[in-house]
Formats: sequence, C-alpha cells, structure tokens
Amino acid sequence: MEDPQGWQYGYPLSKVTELAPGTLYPILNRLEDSGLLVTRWEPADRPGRPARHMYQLTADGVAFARTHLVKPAKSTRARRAQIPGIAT
Amino acid sequence: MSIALASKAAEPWSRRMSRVLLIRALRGRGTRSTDWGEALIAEFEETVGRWEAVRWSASGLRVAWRQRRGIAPSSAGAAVAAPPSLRRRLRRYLVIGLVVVVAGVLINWQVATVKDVPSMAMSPTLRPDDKVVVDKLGFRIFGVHYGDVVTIASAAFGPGGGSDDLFRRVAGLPNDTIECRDGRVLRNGQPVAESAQSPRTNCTSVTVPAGSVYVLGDNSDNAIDSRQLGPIPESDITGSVLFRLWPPLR
Repeated sequence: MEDPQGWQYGYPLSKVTELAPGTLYPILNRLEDSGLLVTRWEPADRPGRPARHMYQLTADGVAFARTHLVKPAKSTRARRAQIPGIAT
Repeated sequence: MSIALASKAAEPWSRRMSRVLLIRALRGRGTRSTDWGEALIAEFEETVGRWEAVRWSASGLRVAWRQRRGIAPSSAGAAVAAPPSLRRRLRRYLVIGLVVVVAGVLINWQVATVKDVPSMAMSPTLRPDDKVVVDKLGFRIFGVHYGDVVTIASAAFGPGGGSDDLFRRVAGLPNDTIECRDGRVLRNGQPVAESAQSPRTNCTSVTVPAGSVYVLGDNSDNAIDSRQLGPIPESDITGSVLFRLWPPLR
C-alpha cells in the first residue's frame, strides 16, 4: 500500500507479503475476478526472459484495501487474517 | 520459451531442475499455461539462490496439482479443497498401505533384514537366538573391512551346514598372508586383534586370493572357520551385520 496505484510483480509481492506463490497467485486471481485488480503483461527487459505479469489495484481495489487494511500486524497469522480471500 | 542464457552455465542443478519441474507441471504438454501459471514461471527467474528457487517451484507445483484436480485457483472461494469423500479416503489409505508393504518387502529382500544368530561360533559377541540387523546391499558397494561381522551362505561350509547363513568376522582380505602360530592367527605377521588365542588354532599358511576373504569365528575354541576351510569366496557373503537388535544390552 506504499504505492497503491503502482504496478507490481508477483515475486516482490510474495516477498513483501511473505506468502508462498502457491498461496499468493490464487489470491491475486480472485482479486482480479472480483474487479479489485487489473493485470497486464510486460515484455521482457532482457532477451531470453519470459514476459512478466503485472498487477495494479483498481479504484475499487484501493478503496477495499483502505477499509480492510489496519496497521501492519506483528505475526504472520495476524497478517494473513487481514488479507481478503484467505482462509484462516 | 527459452530461459536466461547468460547465467545458464553457472546455474546450480537444483535451480535448473526446479524450473523444469515447474514448467512441466504448469504447462503440461502444451506451450502455454494459464495467465497465472505463466506469471509464476516468469517470476521464477526473479528468485535468488537455489533454496528460494526450490521453494518457489514447490509452491507452484502445489497449485498446479490442485488445479489439475479441478480446484481452479480462480473459482471463487475454492482455494480450500472440499474434504475428500470417504471412498476416496479409503482408496488413498489402501494405496498408501500397498506401497508401504511392497517397499517393505523389497527392502527386506535387497537392502537390510533381521536375522537370528544360529550358533555359538561368534560367542561372546553374538549368541544363539540373538537378533541382528544385516545389511544386504551396502557391503556390495562399499566392500567389507577387517573386523566386519558378515553372514555367509552355509553352502560355503560344505554339505550338512544347514540352511541358515552363518556369522563370521573378516580377518583377511585379498593379498593378506595368514598364518597360525602359538594358538594365534597372524595377518601379515601381526596377531589378528579380534581372534582369541586358542589351542585349536592351527592352520595352513595361505595368501588370500583375489575375490576371497579369510573369516574367523570369535569363539576360537569351537568355531569352524577359515582355519579349517581356508579363504571363502566373497560371492558367498550374503550380508554384513550392522548392529544387534536383541538383546539391546548385554
């Protein structure tokens, strides 16, 4: 949420949220399905690299995040509880 | 899709393996996965070091597996799989049980087994009806060494030896010169440490030929071993004792 309108990659998101990609990608998918997130493909910056998928919060997504995000939680469990769409 | 060529040469095999597994799992036979699958593959290149790569791939494999079983990551709220039906659970337990039994049989047959000690020949180290764990595979790879207690097919002891494998200790390997003097067995002129002095120790001097071993029973007064039989072929060794299972203490 430091740059709510910015485009994000999956790998840094996984680092920041401390979520394994197997958890993170399904969440991104559901956020996209519910219109909180838009995606696009970015062509590779170096030859031989695959194109990267990027994610950006929509206006709805930002609003949703604002209402649901509280202060960063200390424990992973508490942090997970704040993320919409994840079963706790 | 090709991979980063510049770093390919220096890339550890675990990273390469993780990438191949991930791509194979997500794309199957096709050339393209779903959007999120392609995203996962692309972001793999961002991981640093082998452990992160392995973790990334393992987690990706998990969703690929769930997707294949019809739990699509995009279907709303379905990230948590419904509990499997009783029938499915039973079938899973049955498969696990079968695999365990088959693996157990194979291991017991080829890798390691438990054996009863048949005789007093290895007393006091091993006594009749002690249970020992015998390695049946490792000694074929790493060889036998001085002092190892090995099991030997009874056929090596001639007819009338019964059908049980016999336990003896390795005292001589190929090219060793074995002789008996003053009731002791000497290997290359030095007394064999594990062999007790015994009035029965009397043997013909011999150089152990290639592919043979010279074996002794710890119970020098009673054991029938290479002192009478000479070196025995390595091919008659059926196992190597790892440890005594029962009794645990003596």
